[in-house]
Amino acid sequence: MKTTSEKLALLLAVTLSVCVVCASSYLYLVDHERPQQYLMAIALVCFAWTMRHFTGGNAEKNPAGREARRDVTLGIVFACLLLSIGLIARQGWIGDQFRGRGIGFFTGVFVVLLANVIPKRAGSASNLAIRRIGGWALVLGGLGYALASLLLPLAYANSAAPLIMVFAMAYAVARVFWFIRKSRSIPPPLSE
Amino acid sequence: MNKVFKALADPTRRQVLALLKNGPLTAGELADHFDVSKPTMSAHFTILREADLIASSKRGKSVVYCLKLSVLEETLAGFAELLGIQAKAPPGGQLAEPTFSNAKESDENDF
Repeated sequence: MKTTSEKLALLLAVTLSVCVVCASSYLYLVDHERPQQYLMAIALVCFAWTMRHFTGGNAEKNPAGREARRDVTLGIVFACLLLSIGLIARQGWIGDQFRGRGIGFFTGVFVVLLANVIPKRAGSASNLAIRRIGGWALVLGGLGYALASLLLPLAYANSAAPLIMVFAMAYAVARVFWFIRKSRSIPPPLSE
Repeated sequence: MNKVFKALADPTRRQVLALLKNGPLTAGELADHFDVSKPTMSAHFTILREADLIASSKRGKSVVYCLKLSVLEETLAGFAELLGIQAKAPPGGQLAEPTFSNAKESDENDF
């Protein structure tokens, strides 16, 4: 049985997909400059839904499959948001600055949403600490990416936002290496 | 989300989560840290399981619990600890028992 958040994500994905497909279809007929881009947008949406259909197997009974399908649904929402921003920008309704900030902000938010549930994923207890480190690093990196894209002057945001994400991932890798080294240096308990 | 807030509202349950951050523990090992009865601890574990904050598995006759917190839930637990009532039980004292009906005595390993 789907949770409320899963139903909302699915509703959002369907709504955004319909909007993107309708807008792309209309622009394909009206705008003759680069029609292949609109076809690619429609193809991307169709491919994403096809992938969702074949992801997860019997998601109702399989928790891991359900998680995978939820991730794909979030991916569809994200892709449709970015496509929408691109389509709106192409029509001249928003400027380049708004387009850049919008794409950066939603990318950061998407990373945060996916990374938030990394520690909850099924896996061995031994790599739980590694999943926690990775989850926290990506959440903070994604948050920094989104805020930098939103708040900094665009010239600085284009370089600062990726730097924040790279730093967060480098910190996570360093912490994981330190953790693995520390756990290997602890001697096994002596048996009596 | 209501179940998560309910689970994090109790300092005993928050301390269970803090203990599990170091690695999986059996029900008995967790219960040894608290001065409460086994049915009470069993009720706490049930609330945490229903909120999907811990996962349980069988190891022989023992039940082993491991942490299953998302980043947001861990943040909420931290805020609850910062703003809430003291998390540690007073030495020699007993925590207020939560009201659970139909609480039964259970075996040592059977939480």
